[in-house]
This record gives sequence, C-alpha cells and structure tokens, in this order.
Amino acid sequence: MQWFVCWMRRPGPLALGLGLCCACSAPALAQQPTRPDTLTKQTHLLPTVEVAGSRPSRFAIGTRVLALDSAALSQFRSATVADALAARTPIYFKNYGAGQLASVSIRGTSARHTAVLWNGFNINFSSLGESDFSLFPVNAATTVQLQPGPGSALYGTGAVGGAVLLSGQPRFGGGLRASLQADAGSFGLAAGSAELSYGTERLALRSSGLYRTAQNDFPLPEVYGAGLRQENAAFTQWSFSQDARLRLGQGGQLALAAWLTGADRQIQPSLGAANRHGRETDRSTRLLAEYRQVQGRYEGSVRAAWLLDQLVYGDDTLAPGASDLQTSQAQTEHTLNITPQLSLRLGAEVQHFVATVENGYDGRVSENRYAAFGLLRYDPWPRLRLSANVRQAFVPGQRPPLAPTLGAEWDVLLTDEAAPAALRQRLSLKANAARSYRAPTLNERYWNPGGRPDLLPETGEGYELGLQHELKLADRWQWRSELTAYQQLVDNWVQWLPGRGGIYTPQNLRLVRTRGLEASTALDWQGRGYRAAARASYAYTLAQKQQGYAADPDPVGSQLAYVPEHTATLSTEHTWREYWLLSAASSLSSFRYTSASASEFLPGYFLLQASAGRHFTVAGLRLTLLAQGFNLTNTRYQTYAARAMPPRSAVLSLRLAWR
Amino acid sequence: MKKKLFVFLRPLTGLAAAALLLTACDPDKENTGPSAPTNVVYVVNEGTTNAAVSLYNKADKTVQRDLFAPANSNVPLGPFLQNMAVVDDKGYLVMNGADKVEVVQMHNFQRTATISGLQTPRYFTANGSSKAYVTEWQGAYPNYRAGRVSVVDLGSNTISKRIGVRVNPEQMLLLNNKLYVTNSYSDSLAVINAGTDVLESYIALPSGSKGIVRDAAGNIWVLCSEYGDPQDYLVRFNPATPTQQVRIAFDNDYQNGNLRTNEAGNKIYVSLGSGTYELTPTATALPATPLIRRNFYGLGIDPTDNTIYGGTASFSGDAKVYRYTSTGAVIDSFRVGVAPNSFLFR
Repeated sequence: MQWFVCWMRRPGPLALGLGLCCACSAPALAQQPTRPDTLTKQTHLLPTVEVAGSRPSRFAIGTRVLALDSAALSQFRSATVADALAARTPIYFKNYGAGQLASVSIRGTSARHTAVLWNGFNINFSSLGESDFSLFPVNAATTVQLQPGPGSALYGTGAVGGAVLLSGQPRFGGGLRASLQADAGSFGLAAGSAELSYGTERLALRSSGLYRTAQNDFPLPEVYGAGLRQENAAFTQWSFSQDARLRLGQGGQLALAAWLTGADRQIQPSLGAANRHGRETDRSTRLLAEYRQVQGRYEGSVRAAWLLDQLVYGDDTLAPGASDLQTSQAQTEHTLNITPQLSLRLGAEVQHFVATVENGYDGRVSENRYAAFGLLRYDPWPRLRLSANVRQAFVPGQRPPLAPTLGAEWDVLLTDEAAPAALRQRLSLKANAARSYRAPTLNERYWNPGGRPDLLPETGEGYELGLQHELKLADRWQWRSELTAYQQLVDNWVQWLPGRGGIYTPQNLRLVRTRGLEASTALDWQGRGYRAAARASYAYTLAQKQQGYAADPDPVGSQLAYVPEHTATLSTEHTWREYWLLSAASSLSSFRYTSASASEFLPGYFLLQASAGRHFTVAGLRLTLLAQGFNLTNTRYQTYAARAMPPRSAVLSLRLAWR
Repeated sequence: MKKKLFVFLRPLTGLAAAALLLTACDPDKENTGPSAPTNVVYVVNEGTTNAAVSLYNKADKTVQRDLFAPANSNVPLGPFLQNMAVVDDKGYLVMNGADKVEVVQMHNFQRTATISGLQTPRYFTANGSSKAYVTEWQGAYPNYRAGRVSVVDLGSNTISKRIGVRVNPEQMLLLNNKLYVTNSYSDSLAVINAGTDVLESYIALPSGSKGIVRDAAGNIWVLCSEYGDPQDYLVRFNPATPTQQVRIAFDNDYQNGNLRTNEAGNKIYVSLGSGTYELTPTATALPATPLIRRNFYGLGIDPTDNTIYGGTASFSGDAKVYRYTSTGAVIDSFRVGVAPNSFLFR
C-alpha cells in the first residue's frame, strides 16, 4: 500500500512520444526498482509505453497531485472513493450519515467547486454541478488522483477548489489475473467484489464488479434515548466496469470503457427528526470510446463519452420525482512535441446536455456547451519546467472568462544522476497562478420557478507557492515532503435566496477568499522481508466571505460553514515477508461551524482505524485475510449537523487472488 | 495547618447541619418553585437542522440564543419549530420536522412530556387549559390530501379526536366557541364547534388562507396567499354573516405574510414583500405606503407598549430581529436563531 505524492513530470525519453501517466510510469522511467504489488506474489514490470487515459498532468506544472494507485486503493476495494480520500488526504467530506451523500470540500470551497473526471470526462451531475462520492466505488478505478487548487484550464468548468480524477487503466502484458473478495462487517455490511484482467502485448482488458449492502442500524448516542438505533439508513450498491485497450498498427490505440453503477439508499433522517422514509435510487451509465495515434512528434486523440444519470427521490412528504440527465461529450486533442523540451497541445470539447427533472424543470431542457484549450510545456533547462495553459468555454448566452494558468517548477537542489552517491536528494520550488470558472449548472439556469439563464459564472483567481523535497538513501529509505501555501479569491459566488413571491432564485452574491497551507510527508523504508511506511498530512484552511451585495444576509469575516481550520491525517503501514500486513490510520479535524453566522458548531474529532492481514498461498492462489476496525476510539461525531455517524465497527475480508 | 482547617470546618459543619435541618422541613418545593421570567420576549426560530427558542430580555437587552438545549442535556430541538404556545406554565413547541409537540415547563424550559402521533403538525391553539387543537398536513408534495385538526387532551398529552378539514391547514382562531381553521391550498375556511369538536361548515374564500385574527370590532380578518395564485387577499367579515366579506386584493408575493393585531385590536398588521402595512379595522384597501419598508419573516406586536418586532428571513445563518415603535421608527436590533417566524410576549 503506497501513497504517491507525484511531482515528477519529466518529459522522459520523448522518442516514445506519448503522454505519461504520472503515478505509474514516471518512477519506472527514472530507473527505480519496480515496486512489487503487495497483493500478488509475482512482481510485474510496468510497461515501457503507457498511454494516459486522463488529461496529462505533465501540463500541470506547479500544482500538487496526490495519487492513490491500485496498491493504495486495495484496502478500499469494497469501499467508496469518499472513504479512500477521507482516510488518505486532509480534504473534508460532509457525510450525511453512513453510506449517505458524501459532499467534498477542497481548500474551503464547496462541492460544486470540485470537478470530478472519469478518464478525462467530467461526470458531475449536470443538474447540480456536484458529485456524490459515495456513489463511486473504488473497485472500478485503478487510480484516484486529487489535484487541489484551480485547474479550469486543464479540467474545465468546476475545477475551482480542485479536481478529482478517476481512471481505470488495464495493463498490457501479464496474462490473465483474477481476484475475488468477500467482506462482512458491522451493522449488516456484506460485500462481494471481483476483478479480472487480461493483458497481452496488444490487448489489455479489465473487468471489475462490486455488490455491497449494509443495514446501518448502528446505536445512536444515549442522549437521544437509551437503546435507540439508527433507522432508515440501509443501502444496496453495485458497480460494474469494463476497460479495454487495443493497440493498432504502429502507435495507434483504441480504448473502450464502460462503468455502470447503481445504488438504492434509504436516506438517513437527522437526529431528532421524524423518520420520513426517504428513499433514493441512483443509476449511472458511463460509456467511453477513444482513439489515440502517435506518429513521431505528433500525438492525437479523438474521444467520445455518453453519460446517463438517473435519480429518483421520494419520501412521505415528497412524491417520488425523477431526474434524467443525459450528457454526450466529445473531445479532441493534438499534441506536437516540437522539441524534447517543448510541447504544445491544442484541443476542443463539445458537450450536449439533455435533462428532465420532475417537479423542477419545465419539460425537457437541452443545451450545448463548447470549450477550446491550449497547453504549453517548456523546459528551458533540465531543472526548470514551465507550463502555460489557457481555456475558453462557451455556454449559451454567455461566455465564461478566459481561464489561463501559469506554472513553474525549479529544482533548486538535485543530486546528479550520474554521480555514484548513496544519498540522492531533490529540492524543488513550485509556483502556480490560475484563473478558474464554474459555469452555471442546469438547475441554476432552468429550475422552474426561479432559474436564471442570465446567472453569471463564478470565477476564481488562485495562486500557490510550494516546496518539495525528496530524499533517497541507498535504495532503502525514501523520504518525501511537500509544503504548499495558497490563496484564492472566488467571485460571484452563487447562493439561492428567496426573492419576489417568496421564490428562491440563485444570485451571484459574494466574494469569498480562501487561503491556507498544506503540508505532507511520507517516509518509506524497505528492508529484507520487511517494509514500512509512515505518512502524515496537515491542512490549514481559512475561508471567509470578503464582501457581498446588500441582499446577502451572511456576515463578513467569519469562517464559512463546514470548513475546518485544521485537518490532519497520520498513517502507517508495515508488511513482513509478504505474509503479514499491519496498518493504522488516524484523522483529526478541528471544529466546524454549521451555519454562516458562525454561532453553532460541531466539535472537533479524532478518528482511528487499523487493519491487520495475513497472506497465505494455497494451490497457486494467494489468500488474504484482512480484519479492519474503524472508529476504534468509538468517537461520537458528525460531519454534517444532526447526521449521526457510526461508532466503532469492524469489517472482515477474505481475498483470493490468482496471479 | 491541620488544626486551622479543623477550626475552619467546625462552624461550617454546624451551618451545614442547620441548613439540612431547615430544608428537611421545607414544604413541597413544586408550588414555590422559580417562576417563568417576565418582561421577556420568546422568539420562535424555525431552524433548518436544529430549531431554537431564543429569549430576549427587554430590561437589559440580552439575548439567550437557545433556551431548550442547555436545559435538556444539550440535546437540541430538532428540525422546524413551526409554532409555540403557552398554556398556564407550560410551553408547547410544535416540531413540524419531528412530528411531535414538545411540552416544556416555562420557568426552566425542561421538557416534561411529548405529544406524539402527529404528522407534519403546523399550529397549536388552546381551548382553555384542558384541550388544544393542532393542524396537520397530509399527503406528499405535489399531491397533498385533505389535512386534519387533532384534538389534544392537555392533561394526558394524548390525541383524543381527529377532525378532517381541507388541504394544508395552517393557523386557527378560537372565537365565541367556534374554531376557524385556515386551509392554505383550498379556497375555504373550516368552522368547527369548539364545544363538541365537530366540523360545522366551510366559509368560501377567494384563495388558500394562512393567517387569521380578530379585530376590536369583533370582525375576523383572514390573509389569503396561495403559492402560484396571481392575487392575494385580506378578507374581513363579521362572524355572524360570514358570506358578507370585504376583500382587499393585492399582488401575490407569498412572503410568509404574517397577519397580526395589536393588543387592543384597533390596528391590523400584515407583512408582505413590499413592506409591513398597518390597517384600521374598517380599511377597504391596502395603505399606499407601508408602515415599515421591509418584509419580515416573523412579526410580533408587544401587548404592553405596541413595539413592533420583525425577524429577518435568514436561513443560511442566524437572523436579526428589528424593533420599531408603533409609528414605524426603528429602535434597535438583536440576533437570534435561524428563521424567526413569531414572537411570544410575557
């Protein structure tokens, strides 16, 4: 289980001429020993040519990208992306209960300020502009990347606070591999998952499936009544994904992907509220096709995706209403590697939205949006890397502002590669300035009554400055640290307020400033038969309203609701002789205000989870028994007001892996 | 040191013993317990996740944001406190989001009982000290069914009877042994015999009604404001001749529309989107200019000095209450909880 803080975006041997997947291949090219996958006995070589499925982060100079690869995600095989990110990164999730809506907040911004991309396509609900992270099972993705900070030039609308990139990449070579997992846990949790992959030199296939269900009838705090258990919080969730890559001819690649998810959830009532038997059904279908061609210095790709999201919600006081959101997207990118140090990428994107929201929109709504972008990467010297990106989006009736990004990285200190030193160090300084935007969502434009097609997009202006340090000692020790300071001003922040006739309308209301500090460090030690890792991260966030229009009732100068000032995570992992595995992770959050007036708050909390596992080999199969304990300190906490979170719980997993 | 301690302790133990003796012979504490504060204003805050009842002390102008949680093991009220009423020394808090009415003792705000068996309760009107009526909505948006009025026995805190009315009943008025119930999605007022608790008749109105008061002349005023209708109305009639109505029409704005009177009943107040208006009992039109150029989510008139209290419509954070003289001049303001919708004066 490894957690990469990825900063290496070296152009690498450009004779290969393809964008490089940051988390996977950069270390391979830097000639490091391949890291054995902790789940299979067989070590496998990373292929020399890796075609990235997501927007290449080689143009994202000066930002930080936290990547969780398949090894790091293996602990969350039957969990969701919300669980994985909450345990490994200091970003804050508002959980409306166990397995309920998980709403992200990166750098003090709200859920609609985070763009979620699947293999390069934005999969936020077009109606809300947000994603529910508990609807993303980890099983379908091989890499989960988090890029905090404004990134609209690369990722489009909504990447104001940050972007989460999900990608499922099957591997070439390696033959047939399979694994099965069964889980059983507290409060009626049961899950089964399977993963099958097949790779030859020309074909790579990966299928994954997951089914999980839980009752979530955990005991409530005693003050609400002795012996009371949470009602109406059960869920059933499933996911199926299929990824395929086929190499055609010389330098061509065809990729197909499908991701189907479904969830039937009872909506957990808040503490003290009547049980209204709320129920939500979510179905998502995501299909993708891509053709990529590499010819000498030129790389080009054409890709298309079709997304369908269907949501139905109803309870005792609200008749079930369905939302049907269909999005078709197409993208094309052309990259010219003019010299090994200079790359230019030009691209365009088209999105076609069709949405029907019962009791919301007036009939069917459809809209076309376009964007064009240019990305430049220039490395004047081996130690200095620069990037300049720009994107212009077109939304019917308006034009969000141009979103340029400038980034730079400079290796202040770098141990010469040729020198035979046991100690290798790198100290880099990075800086980034970006303009980002969030185009209005379909709800904001078409909600009946109250929607405003003339609503302006939110815009953000962000700057960040950071230091990265990496130290390697004799192939045994590795220590990586990173420190980033940032500031962002988000203008025309939208809030829905009651207007004429008591009808709620969205309004561009205020200017919000977020600023803070992010620090992380990771220590890895590898010995004979023993490996250990320790990681710590800390984030300090100040998010405040600076000014607002007269209609804005919220006060100025106090911390925004649900933005903790301090968050920290600390985790450690140990493996012995590929047989034993032990890990512990803790997270800490300071208090959060529950409303804009900063008068009521949820107290800070500390969570601890641990797991112990044992590998066995039986008849060529690798068997892993894993026991995980969550919330070991039995803390009573809430991440959203009045939504109870489960106390101490445990999950037992049995995993069978073939090769 | 030890000696000094003992010397100090001896008179103390003596005092303690004396106190014990005295208190042991005290009569039953219940009758002579602390009484509810006076010269105060209770502000009913609907809240979003957690409602609150705030207390404003008129003498020293201090505000206690939440009376309930500190008095009840820090467990907050729960969602959507719609209405509060006081009967004798008990407070009745209608929790629309929790489907119950919490009964508290007014002097310390500790909960003593809960009235359950309700569904989305809205307003509470007492008939003497032994029974009360609670309006309840039935059905689910957008297909609401006919609502009902539940008759609550205040002695046992149980529901003794249910009376069906029309869709989405709201505020009620008890007058001359008749209970008039507004129905916000039906064009009629339900009239219930308050002695027998039997539905007698319906009075036709121009649209759905929400608020109802009586004035000094004994007439009934009803505020009709239905979501989606083009017109709102203030309807006035004599209870003896309910079909002879004076109807004052104005543009619909569905902004809560608090309908209130002062203690004497010679001034009627209504808070609309364009402002808060003051009418006389014989008015036949809305005044050209409002008394206060501001809409309030909660409106209250102090019976002692006719000071006007207006709460702002803030749902994302704590709201403010502005105080005005009876002529509409602002006095001061204070902060309360989220979405204050009414005031109780003691």
